[in-house]
Amino acid sequence: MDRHLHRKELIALARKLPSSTNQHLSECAECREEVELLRKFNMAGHSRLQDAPAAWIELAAALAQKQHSLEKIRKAVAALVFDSWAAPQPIGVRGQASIGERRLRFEADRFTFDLRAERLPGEWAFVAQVTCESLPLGNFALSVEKKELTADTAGFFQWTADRPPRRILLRSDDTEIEIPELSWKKNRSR
Amino acid sequence: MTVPNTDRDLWRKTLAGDSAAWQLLVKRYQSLVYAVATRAGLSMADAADCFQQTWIALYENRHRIQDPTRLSAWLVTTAKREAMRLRRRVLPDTGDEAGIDHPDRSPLPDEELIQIERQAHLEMALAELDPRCRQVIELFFFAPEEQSYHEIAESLGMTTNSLGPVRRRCLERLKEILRKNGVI
Repeated sequence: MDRHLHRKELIALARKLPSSTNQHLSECAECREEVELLRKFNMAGHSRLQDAPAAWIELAAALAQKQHSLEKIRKAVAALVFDSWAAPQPIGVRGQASIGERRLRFEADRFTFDLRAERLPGEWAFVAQVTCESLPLGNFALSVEKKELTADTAGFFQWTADRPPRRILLRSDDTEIEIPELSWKKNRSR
Repeated sequence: MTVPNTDRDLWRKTLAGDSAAWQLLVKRYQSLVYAVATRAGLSMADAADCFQQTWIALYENRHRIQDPTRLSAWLVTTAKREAMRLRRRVLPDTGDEAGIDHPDRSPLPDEELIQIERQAHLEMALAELDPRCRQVIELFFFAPEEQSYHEIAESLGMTTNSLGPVRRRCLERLKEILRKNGVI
């Protein structure tokens, strides 16, 4: 307690209660306890706390289920199976493979991920396709750096960016596939 | 009558991955978080944001909560912090220590938050009472108009003589529940 009641407050309280009540409270621990409970919890005609809208409650309540689902997701790292920057040139062809375009193919589990990157003035353009024998192709999402993309019904993604991505994550309902970190230095691949 | 789970029980089950336990906790404290969110002067959209972010914060930090019996205090503090963050986002810069809460201008003074928390605990305790005692307490203390002992006794189908002891017994039960829940 920071301070005792001011004299004026004490007098005001004393005036409100008849002396017989004061007398009783000073002698009756049970009643003192009850008064204290009533004061502490403001049990006097106050309206109840309102419930939040049902939709808000459902959303909050679903947090644990969503996390549980996330924990069931299988994770895999895709393997690079083709890189046009690393492919040997056909015999007799001079010069280096075009660095303005790159084609990559990754495989993981039952998925195949094809990525075509093209360097345009001031930006890069990307087209990717995911294929899988058993799943509807539109059921995939792609995380590319900070972008989130959804496949069309044929499993295609399209986007542009200032620079090519280093990190790509492919997601279906129950699987998360990490595309190995990409290097975009000239004539090199990982 | 089934014994309701304590916060400690529900928390232990939530940490073990029991989503039903989490749902019960949300239902138990949703009105508390809602009260803080809606008394902070936010739009309903921001209040909804405040509500969800508070629960997300609790869930994400669940393994760091050391004392599950103090969940209500944690929720109130977090909801207030989230509400203040949302207020600062929309309030114009007054040029006068903008973003700093001044006690006399805060829409959620500590006293009000304490009262909201106590009220939430009281309502939870009332929900744990048997229906008869709940009715007695509500008639005595929460009815909008002041009723006489006689009127209350009539509503309860009792004599006025038996009302006093019944009221006292029900208050004792309420106090036991509040003690069990660590509120008093």
